[in-house]
Amino acid sequence: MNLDDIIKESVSKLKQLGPSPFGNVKNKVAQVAI
Amino acid sequence: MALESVVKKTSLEDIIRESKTFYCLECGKCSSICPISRYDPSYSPRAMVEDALLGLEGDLIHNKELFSCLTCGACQLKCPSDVNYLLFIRKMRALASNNGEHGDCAHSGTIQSLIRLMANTGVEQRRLEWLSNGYRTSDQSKVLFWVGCAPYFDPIFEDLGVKVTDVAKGSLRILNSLGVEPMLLPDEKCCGHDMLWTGDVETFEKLAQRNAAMIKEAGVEKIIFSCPECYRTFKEDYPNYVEIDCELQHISEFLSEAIEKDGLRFKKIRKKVTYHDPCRLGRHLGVYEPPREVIQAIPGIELVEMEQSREESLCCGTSAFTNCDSYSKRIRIERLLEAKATGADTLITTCPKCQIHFRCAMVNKGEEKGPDIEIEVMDMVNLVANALEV
Repeated sequence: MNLDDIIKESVSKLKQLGPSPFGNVKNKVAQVAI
Repeated sequence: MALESVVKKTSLEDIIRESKTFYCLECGKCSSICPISRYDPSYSPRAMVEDALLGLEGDLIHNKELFSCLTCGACQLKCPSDVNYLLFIRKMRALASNNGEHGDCAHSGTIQSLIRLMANTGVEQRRLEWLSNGYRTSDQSKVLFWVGCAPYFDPIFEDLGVKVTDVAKGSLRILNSLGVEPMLLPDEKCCGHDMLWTGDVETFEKLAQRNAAMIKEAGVEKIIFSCPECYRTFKEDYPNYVEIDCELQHISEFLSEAIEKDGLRFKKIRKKVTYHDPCRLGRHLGVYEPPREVIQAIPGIELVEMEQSREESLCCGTSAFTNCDSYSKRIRIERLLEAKATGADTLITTCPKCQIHFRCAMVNKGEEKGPDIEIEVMDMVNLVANALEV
């Protein structure tokens, strides 16, 4: 497996975790209403 | 100097001496200008320095706020005592990292993992897959174009509508139009910027050594960068660890020179734009005018400045993909509102990460309605590439 495929697979798995692909970080960011 | 000796021998006393923190007058100008302190009063550069001078090493290295600093350098420019706060923070983070501390990794640590994979394994890369036959490159060229991590940012940030490889494509298009067919390295590694600034000096040095060896073998005489972080790292940090015997230039400097020599012809583009100085290119390296000269060389372009520009420029809100939080987001919103207040159609920058962070603020708005921060964000390279006469 090459690095490109590893990254694509990681991103895909993160997206499966929920509506936010980047988990807690985005949730934390979303606390700020803009 | 060998890596381990750098890391292990660095003590709080060394850091205080090297960063000249003992000159601190406790005037607090650093904290008054710090973008993080304005939104998060619990973070104070002045208090960090005071803790160091009081010898509170344990408190400092376990203080999570150590990783909140944007390393934008705004404080340093205001310091009447010339305290090198950037060096202080970087070395304190290395000390903290040696004690098992680290910042909060954004994007679930994907980027940090990617960088460590490049440094510590021989995993194969297909980093030039974006390169099509439409671009001319040469393995014999004496000019190297440093692509950076663009090929990996594209899949990670596809949701944001940012294509960082477009910056690499635009750069090649411009270089080709000037008769330059640069070399590209198929196994280029991350420059290590984010590792160095988050305290992982060991990984940084491995990357520096790998890149230096490849560049030496390539036999190039000049390296052109489109990413200011890579440029800063090669120019300011690599010399402390490896030898890079090449001329280094950011593409804005290269283009500014080419325009002066009348080497580029542009078609007219009617656009009102504003320019965002990335911290690494601006405050860290003092490159303020070349990007502006390039933008203004395009006929029909009207460049308007934001309230805070050049040395006063506001950071894009986060650095090294660490401690990206609600304060970071507020800073991005503040900057985008400033850009919109100029009446510009487009916010131009010269840093792919600034582009990513601004787009992130626009896409991930949260549930409540807020001010309109939508504005087109574009790299200077793509503005130039679009304006080239075919």
